[in-house]
Amino acid sequence: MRTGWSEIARQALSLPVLVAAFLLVVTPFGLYLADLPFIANMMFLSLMYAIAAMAWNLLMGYTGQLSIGHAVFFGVGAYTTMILVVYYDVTPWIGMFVAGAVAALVGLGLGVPFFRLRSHWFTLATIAAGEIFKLVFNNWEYVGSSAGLQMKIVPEGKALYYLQYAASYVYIYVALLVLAIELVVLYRIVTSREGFYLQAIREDELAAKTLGINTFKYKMMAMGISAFFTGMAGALYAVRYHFVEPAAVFDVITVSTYIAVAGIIGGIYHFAGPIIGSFIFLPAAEYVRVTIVARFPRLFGLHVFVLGVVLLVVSLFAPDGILGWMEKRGYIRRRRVIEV
Amino acid sequence: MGSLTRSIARNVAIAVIVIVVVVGLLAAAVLLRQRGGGEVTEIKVGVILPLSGKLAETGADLRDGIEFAVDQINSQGGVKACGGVPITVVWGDSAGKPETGASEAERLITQEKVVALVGAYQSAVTKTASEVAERYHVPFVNPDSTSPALTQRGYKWFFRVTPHDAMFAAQQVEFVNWLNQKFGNQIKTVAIIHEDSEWGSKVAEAWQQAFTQAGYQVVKVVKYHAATVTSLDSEVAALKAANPDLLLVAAYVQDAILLVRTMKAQNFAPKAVLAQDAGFITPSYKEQVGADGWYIFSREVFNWDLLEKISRLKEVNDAYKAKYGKDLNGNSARDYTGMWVLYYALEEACKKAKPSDLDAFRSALRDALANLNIPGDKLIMPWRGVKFDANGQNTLGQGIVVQMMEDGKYYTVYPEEFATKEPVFPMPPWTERGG
Repeated sequence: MRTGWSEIARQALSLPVLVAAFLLVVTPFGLYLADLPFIANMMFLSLMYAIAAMAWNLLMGYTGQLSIGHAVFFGVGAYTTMILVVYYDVTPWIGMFVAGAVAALVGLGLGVPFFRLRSHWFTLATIAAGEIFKLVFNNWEYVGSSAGLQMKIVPEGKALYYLQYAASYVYIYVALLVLAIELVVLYRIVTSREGFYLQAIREDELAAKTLGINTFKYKMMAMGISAFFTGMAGALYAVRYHFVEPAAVFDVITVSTYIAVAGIIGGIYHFAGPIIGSFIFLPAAEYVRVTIVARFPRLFGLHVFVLGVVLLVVSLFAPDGILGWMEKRGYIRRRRVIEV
Repeated sequence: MGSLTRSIARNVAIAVIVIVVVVGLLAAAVLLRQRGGGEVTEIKVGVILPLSGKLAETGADLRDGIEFAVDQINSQGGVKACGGVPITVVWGDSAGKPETGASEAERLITQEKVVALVGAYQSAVTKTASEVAERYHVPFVNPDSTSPALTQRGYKWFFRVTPHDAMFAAQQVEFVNWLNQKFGNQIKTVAIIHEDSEWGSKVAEAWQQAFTQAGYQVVKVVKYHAATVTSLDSEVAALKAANPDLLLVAAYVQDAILLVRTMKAQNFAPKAVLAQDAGFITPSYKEQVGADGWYIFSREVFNWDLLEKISRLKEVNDAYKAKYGKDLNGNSARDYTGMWVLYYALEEACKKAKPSDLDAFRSALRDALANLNIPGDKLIMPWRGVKFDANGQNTLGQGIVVQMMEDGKYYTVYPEEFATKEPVFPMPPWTERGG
């Protein structure tokens, strides 16, 4: 039942995937040559959110558990990387994976009480968790409380060890690497027996239980993996900006909600939906903000309003996200891996 | 031709097209990189402010200060040592977020090729944006962030014009010493009440250190959480029991109002109350406490009556008011000053390097900032001047102390050269007041 490595390799070598991968790898270099850091930063942010949204969707699209508290894992990941490098001189190359592991532990810890809750109660609990973590980090002096932590600038010879580069292009490749690892892991899971258990839980948890699926166990598995990669996305934030503060990495809007929105816009019932969603939502949001702030500097918050209208339109006309809409119109084939 | 060969041929065709397109784009990118050069007709300065998001309103104030300074500089002939070229501002919106501030800094430096950055108000945004500038070797002038940590990082390209919170604490000790000299050593013990976020906690820490060092006895420190506080009864009771001569306060708006009302209700009147601006200088505080706010001191960066004391300020404020329909305040005045400081440094840098050679010019500008010495009478701020130490901190900046008098307005009482009224000391007890 489990998709073998050769099958993954075959799928990974298909033309559209190869073309997309090729473009992803070449673009940052082109942006570097053309000196376009604004677009490069967009690309980095899109990738960072894509990683988090893909992880979030393992819980949402596959397991049917809506979390608006993924900032917990994002923030914990960011802080873990930062604490390791600032206090213990551990290279972020290792720190990122430790960050994922710590976030996964937190996820499992939260999963025990949270999975006793159903549907909207689960969602409310995740929102509360996000706020609680923000408060704790705001008052925790060891991690700099509300001022946060900033890395010291290191001499250029140590740039690789501390992953400190002036230009943002380098970080795009780090993010691409993390995304590639994540895609392989997630693809293997969702095409395996466990992946189908998750979808059974999403469709009807009681029925799944009746069929002998240990729903708690598989929900915990989804939570752990989801938290792991969200933590790595948070680690990328710390690595890219050399700075963390509770207000930025535990934010309920720009982290928890953006992750969910990116996933929903792309399409939660498609494997690659959250990636597409991130690459559309984040650049669109930035573009709208920059344009509107430049054109109507006195109308504070107009960009949020415009963004809200766009979201409303998408949810009215493409409730299954962009990939769902394309599928309905017959532009893409329905994917075998996620039969609804 | 079999279907397999056909599909391979198609795939190869697509691959070839993709590669050709990509190579073409890369070539275009290289050409784009060659743009620019030639004669310099303007000096570009990048300014990063919270122009959208929660602090957008403050951002607009700061922006007006910058814009106005640049208008004045350009209308008096631009940067003369560079042949009278005008200064052009390229705006960057931080949206109040450290990550956006960092990416805007990078965009302004590499894409817009600005000679220097100015900004970014919130200490967290200034932290990340100035870090990017430090890496790219671009001068960063910070007119408006007060976290002491910013100038403890050993940066070579960072220059903070405003005094920071620890300097304010030291100055408050000087003010209390001055009161003691004037009124016969009545203040010996000090109590502190502060809100518990980063700002309030750091201010309280600095106070404790500065006042203890100066030989005062800190008899009580009380904190509360401003976002959720509904009553300060037990806090004020504890302060009253400690019976300090001086009460130091770091509070936001609603909690400041609550504190003053509770102090009145419990009839707690130390000889003096000295606040750290914030809540105490907002219009809604003044409106709601009314006469109960009389005689309270507050440390400020700016006050309306400075217009009478600083002749340059009156001139600037009149022109500013004519254009924007409002007076300068502590924020717009500081950013206005920051831009002028940068201008003085640009004049010096132009004597050493040409703006067309960007790296050499940025480096000359850094040296010019490091060696800058602007006397106080060239500024609109109540400072002794602008001179940066090795950490990039302006050592000649200072705050002022204001006191609310019986017309409900704050008047400057310290330092003496800027004072428009004599301080009222000690504060009369609540029972001896009307209202």
